[in-house]
Parts: sequence; C-alpha cells; structure tokens
Amino acid sequence: MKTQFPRETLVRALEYETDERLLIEAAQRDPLRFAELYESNFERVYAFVAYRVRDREEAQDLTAEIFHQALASIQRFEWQGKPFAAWLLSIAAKVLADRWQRLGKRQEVPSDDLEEAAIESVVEQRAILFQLVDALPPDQRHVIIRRFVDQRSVREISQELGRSEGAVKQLQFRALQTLRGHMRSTYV
Amino acid sequence: MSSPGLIEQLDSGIDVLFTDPEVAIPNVDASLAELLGIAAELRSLPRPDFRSRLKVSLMDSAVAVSGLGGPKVMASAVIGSRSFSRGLAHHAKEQILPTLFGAGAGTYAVRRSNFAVSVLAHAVALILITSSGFWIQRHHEQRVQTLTLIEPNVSEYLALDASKSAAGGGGGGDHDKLQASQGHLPKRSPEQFVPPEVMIRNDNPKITVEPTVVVPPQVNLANNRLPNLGDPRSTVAGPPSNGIGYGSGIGSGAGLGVGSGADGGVGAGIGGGYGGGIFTVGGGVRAPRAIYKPDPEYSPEARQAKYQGTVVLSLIVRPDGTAHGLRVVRSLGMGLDEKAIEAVQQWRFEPARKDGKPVAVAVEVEVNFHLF
Repeated sequence: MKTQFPRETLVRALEYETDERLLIEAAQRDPLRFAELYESNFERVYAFVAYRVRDREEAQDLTAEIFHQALASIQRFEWQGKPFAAWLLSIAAKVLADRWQRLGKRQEVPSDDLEEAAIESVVEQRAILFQLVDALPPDQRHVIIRRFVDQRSVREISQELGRSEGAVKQLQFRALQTLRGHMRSTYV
Repeated sequence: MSSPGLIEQLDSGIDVLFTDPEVAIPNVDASLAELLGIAAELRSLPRPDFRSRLKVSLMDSAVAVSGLGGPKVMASAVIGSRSFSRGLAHHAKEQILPTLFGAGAGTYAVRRSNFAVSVLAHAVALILITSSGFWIQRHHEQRVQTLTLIEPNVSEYLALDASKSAAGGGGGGDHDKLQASQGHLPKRSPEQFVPPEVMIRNDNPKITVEPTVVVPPQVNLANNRLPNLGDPRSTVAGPPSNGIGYGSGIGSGAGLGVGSGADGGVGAGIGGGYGGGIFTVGGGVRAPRAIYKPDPEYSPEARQAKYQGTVVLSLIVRPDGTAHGLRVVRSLGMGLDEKAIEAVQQWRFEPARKDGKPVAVAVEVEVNFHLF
C-alpha cells in the first residue's frame, strides 16, 4: 500500500532538499560557505553529543572536532538524497566511538530500533530547546544561562542583577514556562 | 498561574538536579514535573559564546584551506579543536599579542629588560632624528653661502679664422693587399656620386657616372698625366690596386676619396677637400655656431683661490654639430682646463657649411672663468 503525503508537505521537503544541496555544493566550491551549514546544524550535533557525554566542556570539544572534520572532508561528500545532518551525525558517531576507545570504555548502543528512535526524538527535542533559549526575553535568558550554564545560585544572580531572590526565581519560573509553551506548540 | 509555593518548589527541585544529576525528577505536580524535565535538559546547554567562537574557528580553518589549500593546515585545525572548549575558558582574558604593559599575561612572558631596551632604543632614535635636523640646517646654510659667492660665467663662443684656404682630405681603398697604385686624380667636384677606383669591381653599373673627389673647384691640385686613375703621391707604379684602405676610394684611408685620410677628398685629412687637415673657417667655409652651451662648473680649488681667467680650446666641429678632438691651447690650471673640456664636449653646433653643405671644421673657443 502506498503512503499518501499531503501535497504541500512534499513540496516543502523538496524545497528543503534543493536548498541544502545547493548549500553543500557552495561549501564544496568555497569552504567559507560552510558557515551556513554549520548554523543550521549546530544544535542538532551538539544535542547529539551532549546526550552521550554529560560533561559540557567535553561535549563542546567533541562538537568542535566534529565540525572541523566535516569541514575538512566536505569535498568528499556525495549527495545521496539524505539530509546533511545525517552525514554530520555519522561523523559524530565516529568521533564518539574514538572517544570511548581512548577512554577504554564501551559505548552504549541502542538495543533496538525503538530505543534508537526514542533517543533521536530526545535529541531532536533538546536541539529545539537549545534554540528556543536564544529566543527568550533578555532577562529570562540571562537567568537561565547563569543558573544552568554557570550553575550560580539564585542569591548570586540576584546580587548580580540587583533584584530580590524572589524576582529571580520568578524570572526562572517564567523562562521555563515560556520554553514549555514553545515546545508544546512545536510538537502539537 | 504561578503561585509562590510552586516557584519555590521549582527552585528547590532545580537545586536537587544540580546536586545529583542522576536523580529522578521528584514526584510533584504534573506541570511542575514538566518544567523540571526542561530544567534537566538545560543542564547541558552550551555556553552562550561557544557557538559563535566555534564558527570563527571554522572560518579561520576555511580561510586557511581556501588560501593555502594544504591538508596539513586542516589537520592541524582538527587537532587544535580538541582543546577548543578549554581554550575558551581563558580566551576572553588573553590577548593574541602581548601588550606593552603586560596585559594578556600568561600568553607571553613580560620581561622588564625588553621594556627598558625598547625605551632606550626609542630615546636614541629620537635624539638622532633631532640632531640630524640641526645638522641639516647648518649644512644648508653653508651651501647657500657657497652659491652666493661663486657664479661662473662663460663668454660668447668665438670662432677664429685660422686660415683663408680650405683644407681637408680623404682616402679609401678596398682592402687590397697592395698599396694603391700611382695614377692621376679624378675630376674635382663639390659633390661626389661615384668614388674613384683603379680596379673596377662593378663592370656593368646601371648608371654610368664619372668618378670624382670632393675638392673645392678653386683648389689647384698637383696632378700627373698618367693614363689611369690612382694616387698621384703613391710610389707604387703597379700592378693596379685600390689600396689597403676601405670605403671604395683609392689609398690607405677610409672613405670615398684618394689618400690616407677619411672622407671624399684627397690627402691625409678628413672632411673632404685637399691637404693634411680639415676645413677651417674662410675660403668659402662658413663658421659653425654654438646653439647649445651648458655652463662649465668651477673647480673647488679654483673657487677657493678665487682664480679667474680664460681657457682656449681647439676642437673640430663635425658635420653633425658635435665637438671632437678637444685640445687645450691656453691653459689656466687648477682644474679649470678639465672643467672647460667637460662643458664644451656637451656643446652642440650648427655645423660649418661649405657650398651649403655641412662640413667638419677646426675652430678655437674661449671659455672664461670669472668670479663676481
């Protein structure tokens, strides 16, 4: 039985594929054009790595290595109809495997397709979440960055901002609510 | 709606997440649990500047690749990325280059001795620049004094009529091994179309013209009655020969005349005519006129001694207007003779003319050196 997709969905998918292919060809001609591919795939690659590596600094190092390898081998990329992100994630998987090998640890491998799909979903949600943080109002974004990236206490942040602890907690609460709202609208 | 209790519970739950990353989200209200889930995800949020700094790093590598095209460069960029994040932690505080007062310490060592040497070097450079300015100013004053003291002057060119008769010469030959044979001179003519030859090399000329030598018609030449053409002064009776010279005339000279000279005349001189020299002014030869006369310089010793006088030079003005064969007739010394020769060598003349045609002529010129 043949699956029927809505017409507008097919058109959008074709446009995306064409745009991405053009971007890749441009980057193969001029490596400076790789910046556009980087911008559109950064969160996905970082989320993929951060899911498997708990330490933020190490996740950043590995992400940097993955993109540098991708830039170095962009000339060898051959378009086969798959998204560019899939190629990037294959590089990421290899970099992570090397990392496990260096550390002498065994890599956690999904037991079945269902688990792999679940992981992909989590990674996708996390990538979107990271993007949404940049879209927060400045004061809410500041509180989120200081609280979750720099792991500052509410008291420290309140002293930095010159506001009460209650106000900072309120900003933190509203920021998380805003993110939840956007996530829901994205997935509904 | 947010209540103070809910906000406090959320913050407490976040504190727990930080304390133990592996802990499960506590059993709280469903909406709160959802917020805590988002908070748990945010623990791996990248540093806000990481994205932009990585982009800059990638673009640097891209520039290196597109500029140098070297796989080595790219490989080093990949290796360098391994410590990318750790480098970021310090990068904000570091400068790429060391500053004068050591900002960015840790990147490069700051040595006080280097600072002292730099200050000293700049001070010396400043002193040199300042003192050189004073020196140049003093030197400039001296030069002004020298220029106002001395002003060389050259009198008008004066051509001397040395002779009332025309003189000149000519010669030729065709590289024969024998000296030119004796014979009579060809017809005299102010113009020459065909040079004289004893041995005719071209038996079938397209135009037959009588050979001539360039000698003024008023000059009577000693001749003989020999039947063949030749050099009347030759002592060789035969066999017939054009001589060892070159230029198609007769004799040992160079040119189209007869004799040992050069040009189309007869004898040992140059410039046509007859005799042992060149034309001099007079006898139908109009004097040359100097049309370009750069001033001579004063020699330093003559200037210092305030020495003045006139140098007389003899020279030959060629048909092209240039001066050659300069010789000092009356010397002044103190380097002024050489300065006069240097100047007159650069002079250009409207050449002397005989019968309307430029000819070489010997003249004498006076070069005056005068201080005032």
